[in-house]
Amino acid sequence: MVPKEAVVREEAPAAPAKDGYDGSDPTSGESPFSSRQLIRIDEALSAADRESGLAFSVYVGDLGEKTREHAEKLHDKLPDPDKSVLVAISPDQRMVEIVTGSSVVDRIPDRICALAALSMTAAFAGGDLTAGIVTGLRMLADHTKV
Amino acid sequence: MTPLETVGTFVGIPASVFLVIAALVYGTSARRSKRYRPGRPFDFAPVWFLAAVPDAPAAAGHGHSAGQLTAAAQRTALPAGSATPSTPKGGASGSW
Repeated sequence: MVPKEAVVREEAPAAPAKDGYDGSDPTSGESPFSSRQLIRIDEALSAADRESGLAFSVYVGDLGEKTREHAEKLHDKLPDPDKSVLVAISPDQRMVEIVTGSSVVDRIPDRICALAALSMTAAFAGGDLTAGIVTGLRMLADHTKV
Repeated sequence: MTPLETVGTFVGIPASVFLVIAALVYGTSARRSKRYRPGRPFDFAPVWFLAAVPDAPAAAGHGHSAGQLTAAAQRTALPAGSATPSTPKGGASGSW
């Protein structure tokens, strides 16, 4: 079971009409991740935040037709968008979007984001969402300039 | 050996072995079916992971629900802010 204080799961604002996902039990309902995978994502997120001092977040869900636009809208909804990094994954469109805030751009260049996206898609193509997320977060955090 | 024993040995035992193997194969695959497979529709509820905010003001004394509460509080305040044009963003895209 994942400690609740570390991971906040929220239903996306533009989510298709489905039952409310309150995140009370990660293993019930329709979660693509098992408990063990959730723990791995949680650890990767915490480590990335701790190492870089930035706020990382990961969204897995539908991004609509205009994936980039939608991902940037989601990024704007974060508590502090300028210092946040959003990794948005849309398995339906088979797209991953990495959005960095205006003050993060200098610390994580777009080239690094592209590299992270590339390694993530390699894992996603094999069907392993968790490994892709963990790898991407680790790469982004490792290459964050101080 | 009676005919019944013969049938039991040469039909019953292989059949039971077959059933055990079939149960193992389909049992594990049914358990594993709830995951993402490339090319298949992704019909799961969207999830959004955020790490805990250690310096959240409401986090003191409320334990596990604080992160969710602060996140929710900030999200309700968003509509006003989201109308402002967003600052330039960086990043990258990838597809598989």
